[in-house]
Amino acid sequence: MSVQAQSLPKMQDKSESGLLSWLMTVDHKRIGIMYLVTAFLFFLVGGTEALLMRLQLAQPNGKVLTPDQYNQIFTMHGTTMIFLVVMPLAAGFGNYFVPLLIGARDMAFPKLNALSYWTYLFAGIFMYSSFVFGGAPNDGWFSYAPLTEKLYSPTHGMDFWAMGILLLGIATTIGSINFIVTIIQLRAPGMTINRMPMFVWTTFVTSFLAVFSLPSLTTAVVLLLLDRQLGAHFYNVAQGGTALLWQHLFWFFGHPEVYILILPAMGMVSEIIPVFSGKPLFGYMAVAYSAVAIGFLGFTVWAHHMFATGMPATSLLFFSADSFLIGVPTGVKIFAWMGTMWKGKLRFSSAMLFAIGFVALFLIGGLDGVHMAVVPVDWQITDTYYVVAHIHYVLFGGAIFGIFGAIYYWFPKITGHRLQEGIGKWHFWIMFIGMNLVFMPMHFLGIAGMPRRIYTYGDGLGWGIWNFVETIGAFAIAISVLVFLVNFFVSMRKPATHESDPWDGYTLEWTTSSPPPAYNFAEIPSVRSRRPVWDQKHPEMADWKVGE
Amino acid sequence: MSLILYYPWNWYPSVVIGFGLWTLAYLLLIGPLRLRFGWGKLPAPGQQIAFHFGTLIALFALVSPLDTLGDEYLFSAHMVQHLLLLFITAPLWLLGIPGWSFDLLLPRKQIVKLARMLTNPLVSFFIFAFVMIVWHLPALYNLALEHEGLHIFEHLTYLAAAVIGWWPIAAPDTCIAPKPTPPVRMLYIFLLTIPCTGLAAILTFAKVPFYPFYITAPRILGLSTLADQQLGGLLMWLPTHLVLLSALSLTFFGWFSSLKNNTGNHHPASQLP
Amino acid sequence: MNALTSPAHNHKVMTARIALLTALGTESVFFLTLIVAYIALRNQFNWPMEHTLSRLAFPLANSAVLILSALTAWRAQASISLGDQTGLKSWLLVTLLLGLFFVAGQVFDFTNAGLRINDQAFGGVFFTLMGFHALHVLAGVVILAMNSLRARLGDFTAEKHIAIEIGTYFWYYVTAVWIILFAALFLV
Repeated sequence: MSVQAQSLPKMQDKSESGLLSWLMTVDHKRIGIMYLVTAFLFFLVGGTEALLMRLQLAQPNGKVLTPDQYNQIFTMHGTTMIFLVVMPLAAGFGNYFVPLLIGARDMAFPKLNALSYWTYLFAGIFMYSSFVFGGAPNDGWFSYAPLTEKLYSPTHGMDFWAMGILLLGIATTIGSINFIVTIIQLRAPGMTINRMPMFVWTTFVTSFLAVFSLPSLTTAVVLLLLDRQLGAHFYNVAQGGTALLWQHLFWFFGHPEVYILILPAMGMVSEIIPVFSGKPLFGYMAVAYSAVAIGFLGFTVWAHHMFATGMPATSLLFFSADSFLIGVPTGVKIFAWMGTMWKGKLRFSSAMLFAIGFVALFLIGGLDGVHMAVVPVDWQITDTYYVVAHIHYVLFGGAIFGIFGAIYYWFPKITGHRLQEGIGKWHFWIMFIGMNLVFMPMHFLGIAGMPRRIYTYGDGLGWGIWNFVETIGAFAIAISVLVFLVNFFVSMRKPATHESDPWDGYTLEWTTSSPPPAYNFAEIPSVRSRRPVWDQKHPEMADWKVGE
Repeated sequence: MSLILYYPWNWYPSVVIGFGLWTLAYLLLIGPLRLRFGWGKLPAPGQQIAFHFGTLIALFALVSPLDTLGDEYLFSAHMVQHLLLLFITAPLWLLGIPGWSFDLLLPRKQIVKLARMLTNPLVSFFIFAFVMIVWHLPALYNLALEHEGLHIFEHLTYLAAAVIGWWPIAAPDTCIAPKPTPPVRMLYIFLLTIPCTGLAAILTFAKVPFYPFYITAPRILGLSTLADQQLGGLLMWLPTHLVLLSALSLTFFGWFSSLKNNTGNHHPASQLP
Repeated sequence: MNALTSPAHNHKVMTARIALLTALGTESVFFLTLIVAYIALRNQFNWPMEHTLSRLAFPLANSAVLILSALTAWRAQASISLGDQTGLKSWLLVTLLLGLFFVAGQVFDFTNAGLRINDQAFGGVFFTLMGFHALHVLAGVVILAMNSLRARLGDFTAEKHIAIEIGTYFWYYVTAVWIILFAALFLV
């Protein structure tokens, strides 16, 4: 029996094209596309910033950038990649696919959804306008006080940063509330919480993380703005403030933030690997539970970013232990993905390659993290390139690889075209090799003592050769991105195939046309298991019959 | 651990007799009275063990050397005592008391209203957080250490607030005050960590000792007042989170098992025509 | 929600409530982190408590205004649940006016506090906490105003008044936050 779970939103006439229809749209699919395109453009910008940094660092005593320029570039690189690329890419896929995956017609609040996107776009442009208004933010993406006080950062860069962050916080909070309500209220009949696709689970947990952690960042940034603009003294020690307050407030947000960055990609990978292994996700309950446990524990470990600030000795012990603990649920997921592939009928499509790449690279990054949870180790390598290696293995090898996997996986659904598999494989391998060339040597550099955020380094330290290799790797990554763009344009020029189910998938999005109609489903489907489309295609072997 | 040997056990008559009566009441409830009036089923052995274990822990917390340590020397020891009451005893008692015993109060409409109000997750959250925070304000904390009567009152309010606070999570199924659904319970558990983390963080990261009583108390174990306070904060941090994580996990897995046997009729969209 | 309303309507009510609860959750963490900042700073130096204690009278009176407005908000919602349109309109108006009065009182208090935001950390904390609260009250006033307008247009019935519910709960929230802030800043 069909059910309409909510009143039909204002429909987008398919023949409506043109700029105005896109500007006024409240259709989650169009908003999703806008997020993806905007975020990808920012990815190119952030990547260019990275290339500039790598050029500067390729040799000792580099002269490509001045110190101040370098500071602005690395600050914007970090800020862009985290707030303007990874989070919006996840939001874009979430927007497009969560309603489809749960069998709904749109998000719970379509107009708010549009507001989120436009706020994000405005915030990004606003932040970047700082380059022409006296200089971009230049105190690092986590902007420690008191460096960020007016006294030490007199240009307006940090104000742009702070206000941009506030706007982005608003966009993300609204978006998260939208996801939470949508997932609770608009699931198709029969889709109990233990039958939701894992990407929906991770979006759900991510949204809660965002809702509860972003306010801390808001407070931190508001207090900074008050200090800078109205002469308040929150972070000014001389007048009764405390600089450490910034770190606590920031990292109380900052640690859940890293899970906000990785969980969606984990969800994407949890969709891709089962399909290309021909098996359901192994250990679904454990994977769902580990997402919840990560969400829970994520709020308790923030002080492990502050081991070197002179914390009381016993607290070092506790936070170290807690940080080890949080590695466990992540490990569970890795085993689940491996278990899914074990004895499966593996198809190494581009999407699958990126998903497997995710697992391998994220594992390395995760192990880095476990190293750093050991306090004496952290004391040696904090603020060195070891941390940079860690961040990039989990965020690039992790989140970005996962997202590229999702791009290859869901591209046919969004556009009706297939990305070329051959070019896709070139993309993957060049990116994989490039990525390791850039970030593996950073481990050695970190242990050798190279600090992060320095605009150059001296001769004779032995750092030059690794930095040079890393720069080569960076350009390899850049080439791989170009390869991807070539793939995109070539694929779009070929005639559309409009296949609704190109991969023999399991979940509801594969029942619609490609691209889906504005209303998504003519009849809201009913589900009886985690793989409703598999059930449809193989009624004798349906999951609910077999007892999945 | 060897401290146990150095410091005395204080078998306070009020505590011993009080818990003795409490246990007796429980045994009567599930034993002769239950059989006489046909009130309901005997609680499972695990439940009974939970109840008695909760009582034993409370007894231990209040009469063992831990009590002396906390009342005279160490903030961290005092913290352990309170944590045992709030995070071990209270939930264990709730797990052990059979639901039908609460439902005996159903005929009393006013009590039903009161019970429903107190166990509403928003209300119980605030009661738990409020009581916990208020007793940590330096002035009140100190006062309780100096006046035995107030100290007893403090412990009683802790126990009461904890039982109320744990109700939405650990209470038995009753008609008088039903628990919220599992997902709401999980959210509630997560939210409980917030006042705990807040308080714990303040205690751990403070640069000055807060409680005059412990500033003037004799130093033992080589712990300075500040280090003692930090340790107290950390005990409030990780152990409580582990207890809450366990509660979260149990709720999650219980929820999933109940869904496995479900045909999908218990969620919003399927209730529409 | 009652037996007369359709499941579709109940669904809408539930959706609105979940959204509000989540939004209030996020705001609560915001106020909490502000209070944490306050506590962290309070440890730093000699906190000028005399400053606030000596001027308790006015904020106390203003608190009464706000608490009163929470009661009138309750009456407004109770009225429409019984279908009393006049009651709804009147109580909404009273609540709105009390809310504005509160904000005006806050502004008056701020300007006469003899304190500036850059007067050491205390000034910053005081104005930030009070200021953000007042902003939330203003947001509540805006919601009440919109509801008043819609009430006049006859938008609400005994069965359908989601916006009134949302507005009322938000108003309760703002009052509860005030009580906590008041206690934290003036009494502790």
